[in-house]
Amino acid sequence: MLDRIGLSLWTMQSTAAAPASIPALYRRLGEDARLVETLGLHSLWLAEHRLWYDGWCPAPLHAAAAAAAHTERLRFGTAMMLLPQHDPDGLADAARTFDRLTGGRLELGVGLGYRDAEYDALGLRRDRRGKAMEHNLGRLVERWPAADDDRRRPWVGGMAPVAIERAARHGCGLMLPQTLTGERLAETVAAYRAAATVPGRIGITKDVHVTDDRERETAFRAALRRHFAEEIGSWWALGGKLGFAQPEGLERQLARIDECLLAGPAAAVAEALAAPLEAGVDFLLLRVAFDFVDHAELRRQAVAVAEGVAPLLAGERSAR
Amino acid sequence: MRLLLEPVGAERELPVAVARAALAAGLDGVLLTASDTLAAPLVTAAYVAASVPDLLVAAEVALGDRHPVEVAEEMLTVDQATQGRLIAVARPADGAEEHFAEALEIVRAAATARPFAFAGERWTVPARLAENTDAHDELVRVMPPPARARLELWWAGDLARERYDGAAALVARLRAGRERAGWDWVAVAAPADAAAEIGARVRPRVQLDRLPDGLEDHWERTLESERSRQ
Repeated sequence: MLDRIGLSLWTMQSTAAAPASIPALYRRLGEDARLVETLGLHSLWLAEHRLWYDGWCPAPLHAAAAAAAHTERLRFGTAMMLLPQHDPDGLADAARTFDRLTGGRLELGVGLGYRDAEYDALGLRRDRRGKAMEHNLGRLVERWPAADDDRRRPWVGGMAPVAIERAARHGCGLMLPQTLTGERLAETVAAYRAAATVPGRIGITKDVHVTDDRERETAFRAALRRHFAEEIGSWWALGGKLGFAQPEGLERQLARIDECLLAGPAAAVAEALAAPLEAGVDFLLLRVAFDFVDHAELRRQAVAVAEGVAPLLAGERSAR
Repeated sequence: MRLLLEPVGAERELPVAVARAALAAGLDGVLLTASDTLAAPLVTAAYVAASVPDLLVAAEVALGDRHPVEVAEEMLTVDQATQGRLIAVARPADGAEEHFAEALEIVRAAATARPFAFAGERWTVPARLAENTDAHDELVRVMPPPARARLELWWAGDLARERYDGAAALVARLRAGRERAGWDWVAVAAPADAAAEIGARVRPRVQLDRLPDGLEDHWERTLESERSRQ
């Protein structure tokens, strides 16, 4: 089961709530990668955003290249590279270079991005991001062709019909958001499988915090809420205005994130993760890393996932 | 004079081995350029620096084709990932030479610690497009900051290029370049197995303005006795 679990999401943020030395964050990325590899997990995933006060990493593949040098087997993912914001030829060169140096250990996830400010800085129109995604993904797949092995295929993030169709048509994997559950999850899995030209992988992301202590769980929920209030309040356009100007919309989003969080003892987290596996999801991308999770706690969470949660999932469907 | 080792031939595909040879020889760093399979020197630089401690890692970066903010972000990220050991050596991208100067100006602005705007012939940053209705920034701040005080962003004139064809000939050219053009940083294209020779026979001879009579003979006798002992 360990080979179907990746940990996320290294963002390299130094926020108002959790100030950190940015050079130390980059140095620790290599240490964290070594631990995640030692624990036998599949991969470590980074995220991308740009032009924000906290230093959020805008070039996750480049940061991962340094961490990869500290490991031998661990794979490195992006969840997500904001593909419409990149030059596809440059990204293909970077992906091929990464693969060559690391023995093919890249899991390139691509998504749309949503912040107008990021698009505008790069001279791009956000309302044309779908078209740009289509063009850039085609170019990327052409310039960085997949091996027979489907591990070389990019992941496309999303759950909208257009994302499913796009992932299937380009022979890419599909990375689903954590909000997708129940029947809708089963339908989405079925829609992708029906459309896929190759037996691509389906992953799903989940925010996770493993603890037996109710007080710690409560504290984590409160910190998670503050974290996403900042992100959604500053970045998400809700009904034509940014989040902080739409308190009710912001509150709904925060409630949704709280509902999706899997926090509690390992057995409870494992029980909740059984549902997507039963629905046909192949890969679990568990987010344990946030700006407010300090380094020692982050390492405890990595161990708790690998040694507490994963063994309880071992009876689920075997790896594809 | 500071010396970087630049891989040649098939060794361009083995940058970690070349970097180890440079470090063992006491050279200052390596210069990485794009090759067929390692087409993104900044990615290679991140990997090499993490593989080999202490060494400076210079990477040639093409400017003028891709958006300069995207390239600047890659440089700054790799500067952080290498703990400030990156030297980004800008060169004009093939076919986009006319945009090089503008791109370099944007990258320089992006590497400072303050928000900036830029209006040029090829790029406007931020673009202030009417369709991006939720983009209100008149200035942008590119992140992350450099790992040290400043990003080392160089271009052609900052780094002389030479090739290794024997220690004596290289020493003569390096001394001449220093006197003629003030060379202080030089990338020497050489096979990894020449690194030791460059470290022992070239580097000591190009640091000072002149050497005391007899010192070079002493160095040669020392190297000879070392060699016969092995």
